[in-house]
Amino acid sequence: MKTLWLLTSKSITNRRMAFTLSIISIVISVVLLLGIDRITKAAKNHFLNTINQTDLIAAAPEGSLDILLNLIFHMGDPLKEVDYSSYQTISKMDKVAWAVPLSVGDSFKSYDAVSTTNDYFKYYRYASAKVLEFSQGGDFKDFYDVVVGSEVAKKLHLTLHEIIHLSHSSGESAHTHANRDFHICGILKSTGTPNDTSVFFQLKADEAIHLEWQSGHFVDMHISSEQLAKMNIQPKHISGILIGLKNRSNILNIADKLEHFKGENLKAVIPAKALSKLYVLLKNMQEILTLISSIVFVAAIFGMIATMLATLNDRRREIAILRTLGATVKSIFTLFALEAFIIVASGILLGNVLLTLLLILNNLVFYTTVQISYFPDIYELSLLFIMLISAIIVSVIPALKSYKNSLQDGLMVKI
Amino acid sequence: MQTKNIIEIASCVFKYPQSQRIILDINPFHVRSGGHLFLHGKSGSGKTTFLNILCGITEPLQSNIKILETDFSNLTPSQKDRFRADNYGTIFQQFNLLPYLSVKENIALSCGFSKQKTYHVSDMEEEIERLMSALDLASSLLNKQAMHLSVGEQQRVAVARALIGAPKIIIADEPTSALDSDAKESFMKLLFAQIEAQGSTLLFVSHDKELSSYFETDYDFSKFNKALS
Repeated sequence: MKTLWLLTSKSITNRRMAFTLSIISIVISVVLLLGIDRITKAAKNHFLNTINQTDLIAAAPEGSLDILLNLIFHMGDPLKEVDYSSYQTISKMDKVAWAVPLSVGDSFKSYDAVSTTNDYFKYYRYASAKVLEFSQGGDFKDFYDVVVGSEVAKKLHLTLHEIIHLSHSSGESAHTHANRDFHICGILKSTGTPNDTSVFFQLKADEAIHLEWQSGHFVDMHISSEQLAKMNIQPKHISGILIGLKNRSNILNIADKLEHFKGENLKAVIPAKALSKLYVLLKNMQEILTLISSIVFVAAIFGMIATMLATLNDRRREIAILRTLGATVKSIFTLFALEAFIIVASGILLGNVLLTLLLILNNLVFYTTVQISYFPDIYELSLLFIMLISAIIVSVIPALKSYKNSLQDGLMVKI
Repeated sequence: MQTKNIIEIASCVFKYPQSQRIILDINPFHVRSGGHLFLHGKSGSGKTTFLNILCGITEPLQSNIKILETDFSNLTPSQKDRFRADNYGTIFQQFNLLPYLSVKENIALSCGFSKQKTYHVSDMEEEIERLMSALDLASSLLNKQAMHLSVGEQQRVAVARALIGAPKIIIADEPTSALDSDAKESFMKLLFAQIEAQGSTLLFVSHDKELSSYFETDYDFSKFNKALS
């Protein structure tokens, strides 16, 4: 075996060009295969971990995924509004433990501004029932207080008590409420959820700063911020309501009640159910991507075998010499298997290193709330193992060809 | 002491699988232990095929061959591989060496496939150096890659590789045809000196009749092979 290792390593060094190219193609397929697995898994976790222990979400009638994406992930088209009074009624319902009103659609720089109440920080749960925690400061005390997510603070270098200005709407049509100073009262700890990329302010402040917005245009009413705060403005509209029940077994019952709500058309979404819809979508996507990357891997293996076959003619003399010296058929097959092993094992190793570097780089350049693992999990390790084994198995093809050549060549290769 | 027969051939017939024509049908003959046999014949007379059969790389149609008192004809292919590794040293016309290995690695390679040969060498480094100096090879060549050697040097390294581990049979297939006449003479002298020192049996095949002067036994392969007559 020692002799075969020596032969393989020296023979490979002798053919380093073809060898390097084979490794590169394996590296690419490993990065692709693991990268796709890593990213889709991270995305899946990100989505599935975002909301927990909220039994129902009430909003204006829309698809349940639309409502979930809009209120929780701050994605997609804006929802129709819900009357604030509906929230007040729902929060007083017998079987309802808590209700949190949410209004989305405004922004701060490129981040989402969500208006709500302090109940949001009290009742919102993510991952396995984790509570939102503050790394600095705390929840709303004053009218113009704002709580910022961890990424917003980190990216924009925001500190406690700093003054920021929110914008009406988002994107290109956004208009900054430059006359209304908001003070940062708290910074949230990182959660890996859309909370990290959001800022939160009070519903009543939301309503107040929009007093000066009429029919989509800014009209300066020359009211000072202090006066505005004292005007006791009550919110009129919200985007939706997060609801926790006293007893979870009442979910369907309450959902039914909400959908036949007096005074307003509402849709009740069970987050767990909507998330499982999302999960199926993600799973399909993951399967397709995994299929594509598996095909890339198979192509890389066949590329390696093609290279081995192409260099076979140059190696006829080499194999004939070894056969003369007493190398058995088994030794010849082992030589090819070792070569395939070295190529794929180095490819796997380098591929993993490269992927980790890419992910670290990605994290440095684009800070993201999606937590991507730097190391392969059991599934990926077994995938890599299958890669290695299949490469060794297909190395039989060039070995067989080489063995047949050696039978034909005999002791002396006449080339 | 009675001299044993190292190789005993009662019959050996060969034809290519797709062809009807028998191209090899060997007259019975034997080689005694320590003997030096010279087989000469034109190219195409089947010499190399015959050597391939003796080495166990080519399977004959029918044969009755005893080598070193082993019923060689009835060995399985992998037993033949092992037998070859343990008992043979081989030298060809040229391209004997793996170009990417050093001289030292090329010589030692022969032992890499045979425990028996390894067993006969107590100190590998020492034995390689001894053979190198006996074959007039500078020790500075030891770590040089084989591809950087002259043809004459390569052939002598091939002899060292054939001799290491003291195999009982040395097979040489036109080992001098790539050498000029001066190199040829010194090569033959060195080869014989070492083979005699080791007591190996030599089976030497060449088309070059001039070389017959070195041998006690000389066969014309064309007459030897019934298929040609």
